[in-house]
Amino acid sequence: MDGPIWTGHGRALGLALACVIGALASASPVRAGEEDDSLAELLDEHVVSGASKISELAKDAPATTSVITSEEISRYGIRSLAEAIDFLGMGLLTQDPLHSVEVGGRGVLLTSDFGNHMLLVVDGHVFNEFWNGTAYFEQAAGIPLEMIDHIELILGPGSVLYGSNAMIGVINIVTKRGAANEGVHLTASGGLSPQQGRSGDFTSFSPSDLGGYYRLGASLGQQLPFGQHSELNVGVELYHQSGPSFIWGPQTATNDAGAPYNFGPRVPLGQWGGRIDNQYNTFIPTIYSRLTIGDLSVMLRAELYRRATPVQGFDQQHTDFDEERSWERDRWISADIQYKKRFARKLVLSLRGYADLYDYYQQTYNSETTVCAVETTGPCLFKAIGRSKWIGAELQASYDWTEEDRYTTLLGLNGTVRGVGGETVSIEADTNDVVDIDGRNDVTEVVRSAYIQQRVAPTEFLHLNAGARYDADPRGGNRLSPRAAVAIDVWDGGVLKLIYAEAFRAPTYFEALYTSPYQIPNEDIRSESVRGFESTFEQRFGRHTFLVGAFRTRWSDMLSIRTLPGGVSQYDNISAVDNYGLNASVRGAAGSLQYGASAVVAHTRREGGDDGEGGDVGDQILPAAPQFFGNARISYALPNSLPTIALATTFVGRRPADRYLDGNFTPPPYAPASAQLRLTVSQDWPGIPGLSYRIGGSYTTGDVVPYVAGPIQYYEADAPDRGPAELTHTVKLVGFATLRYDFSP
Amino acid sequence: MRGRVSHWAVTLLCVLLGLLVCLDSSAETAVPLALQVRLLARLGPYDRNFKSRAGQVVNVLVVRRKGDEESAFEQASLMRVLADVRDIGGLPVRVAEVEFSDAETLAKRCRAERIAVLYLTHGLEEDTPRLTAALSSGDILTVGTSARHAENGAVVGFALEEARPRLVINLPRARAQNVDFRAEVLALARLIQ
Repeated sequence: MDGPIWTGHGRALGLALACVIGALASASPVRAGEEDDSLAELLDEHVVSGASKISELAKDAPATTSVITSEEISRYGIRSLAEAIDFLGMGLLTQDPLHSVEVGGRGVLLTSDFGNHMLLVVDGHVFNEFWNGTAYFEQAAGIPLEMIDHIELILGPGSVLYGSNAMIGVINIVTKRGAANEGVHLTASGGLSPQQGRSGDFTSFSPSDLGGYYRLGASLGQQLPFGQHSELNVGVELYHQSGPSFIWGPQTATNDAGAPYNFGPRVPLGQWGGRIDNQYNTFIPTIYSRLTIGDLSVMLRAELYRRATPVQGFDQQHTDFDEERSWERDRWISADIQYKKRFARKLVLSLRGYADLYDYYQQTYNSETTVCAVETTGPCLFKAIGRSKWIGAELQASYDWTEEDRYTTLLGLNGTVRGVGGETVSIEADTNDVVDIDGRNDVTEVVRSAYIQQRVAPTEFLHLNAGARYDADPRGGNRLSPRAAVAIDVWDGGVLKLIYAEAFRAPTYFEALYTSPYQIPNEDIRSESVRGFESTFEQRFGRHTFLVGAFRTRWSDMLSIRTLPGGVSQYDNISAVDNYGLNASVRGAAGSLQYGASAVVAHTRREGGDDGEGGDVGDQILPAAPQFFGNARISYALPNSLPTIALATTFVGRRPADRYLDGNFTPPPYAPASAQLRLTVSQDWPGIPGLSYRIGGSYTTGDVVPYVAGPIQYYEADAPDRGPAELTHTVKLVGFATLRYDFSP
Repeated sequence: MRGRVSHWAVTLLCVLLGLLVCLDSSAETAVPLALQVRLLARLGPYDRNFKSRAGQVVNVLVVRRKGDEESAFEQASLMRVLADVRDIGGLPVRVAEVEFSDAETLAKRCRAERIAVLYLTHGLEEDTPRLTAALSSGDILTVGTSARHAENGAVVGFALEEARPRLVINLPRARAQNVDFRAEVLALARLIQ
């Protein structure tokens, strides 16, 4: 599947870049920021740590990085990591199939990956688990929103320091500490949405029909009596959502024997559809704590994510209609202990130990007796179970050759022991008798890796970064992931970056070893890999920054699930992806006015897909992956005691549905372009010190997201009653309010 | 068997206690030192008394704490970065370094050598109140590499908040040490009243 990274349009793009670079190189560099950079401009410089694991200016970092701050999260009424990415980020976007939000970047979104192509890192701890590489980006991201200090969105392949999964990029979250979180902070927020109909219309605003959510949060920041650098930060959050309700279908379906499919007592035999009232809810308690005593820091985190999804398709393939006994649950417990100390003037050593426990559980209640592994006499309760646990240690050494942070070498060794397993269980629901346990399997594996990075800044205007990481993964093989980057201050405020990087993703247990009545394992699959080249040019004008970039990525050995002749499915390295495009952003501030915008236009093609009969289907567009998206925002803090008003929008172009390639629908299903608009008003509560409020509303112009809903997606292409694809609804309208109380000593 | 378990338990306890005893430092400076120096170079002219304090040349004294490797690193880095600074507020810069012995000795040197900027490095946070008392009637800008320095009595410290550098200004100390920042700076800083 490997192919040349420069082909066709890529050569033209490379030539254009070379011309730009040549022109810029001929200009005489100026020592940046010496004469005319005002104090305010310097204080606007972003300092990031995710791209090279060392604090550095974002403009010098070896990756295209955008930063989202907690102040922006509050100002624009952001309610989840996904919303932060969509409304405030650059180059990334999410799509919500009503749970398990998907994240993509710069034209590449790999549907049904449950976040395993994006590495989610919080305070240096990787949140992706090992059973399926899962990371969540909705409220279940696993970090209370009020604990977030800032989020770094690092675009492009990032395995050089992080290993597997960092293919689209790395989301690096840094939590609050020190004065930023000192005291007690209490938050209560809630929101309401009207009942929706079949086609995005609002069918009721009656209080009894509204859907809604609430979120309760509390955080504590406390300095400890163990020296100047000792503190405890703890955050807890409880999120609960129920509704709104939607109308689906009706769709008709038959079972394998050709008889009408039984979707339970709420719908006629053989029919799926109607109003869902009981199967769209979420419950997420989260706790995150970080104890720092000098050079020692300890993180503990626990989370539960329980949900029921109101649509059959994306992650619940078999269930009765509107059945409250069908739900999923993820649980995490994580611990991380790090000791970091400068042992000599030039040498910093860091030793980190980490341990995680994770399990996944899904149960679906089915009146249809053919769903379980063996046919039941009555309703079947089908359970899918996955689990992973891992423990590891990372030793890292940083050597600063000249004590100026200009020639710094970073060396790291990492070892992880992981235990992964799972099974499916079929139960006779009326009697609770287990009728079958399928695919029970547990494996223990050791993953080893080593990495090196060299940063060189021979002058103030030139920053070089080169590194490589070697991973030995028993399921992914041995992988070398290099990266080389150069950042040049070409003139005052202007920075040109050139970056080449590679990344990989080892096959997960779910892809390689999971066994169920519907899936068989494939232990021979290989790691996916991506190579990317990009160039960006950033120009600052006072407090205003403009960035434009061009990128090209080549993805190889991409894993997809395919249906075998016997009807079961299996993962295999099926395709490659070719992707290139442009991204741009602008941000700035003038007095009390703040603004920002970003956009991506990309061209992405999937190559070498399987037509199911051993043939190659040729180049295809990538399902569910928008090729045009972006956001824009503006806010103004009114003078005196008046509120801050913030308006934000995120927009996404027309994109094919997830079953575009394999659903055999005519016409092929597309989700139309849509935009989400959000108005937020926030202010300190007059007369009550420490109390503040935030109210707002959000409206989405589109009615659907690109995910086919219901059993129609499992029809044979020539089924006589086949209709056009029905796409998954989106929550169109939300009104929300937040109260926050800060008690600082 | 029980003896072996006890042995390991005692060893582990000793290691943890040892860590706690030597945990008086944090190996990472929040705001990169080169950026701190650029901020300092911009900050000077916003102090109305800066030129009269400095005279013909801005004398900067960088202080390290004895036996603290992080402090030694910061001092060495600051010396190198400050050496590249052509001027602060139009005045040339002269940089010197010193190891902290006691507050009185340091204050005496500051007065004798007309030090305009006293730059405190890591590990001196706990000594800052005593140093502040010794400099109480002095005309000097004390700067620390972290916010904690300012919280303990330095006039200016640097914090990293929301991925941006933030000035932390101790207003009572500023007044006591004849530092008079313009309102534009105070509007950009976190103030300690």
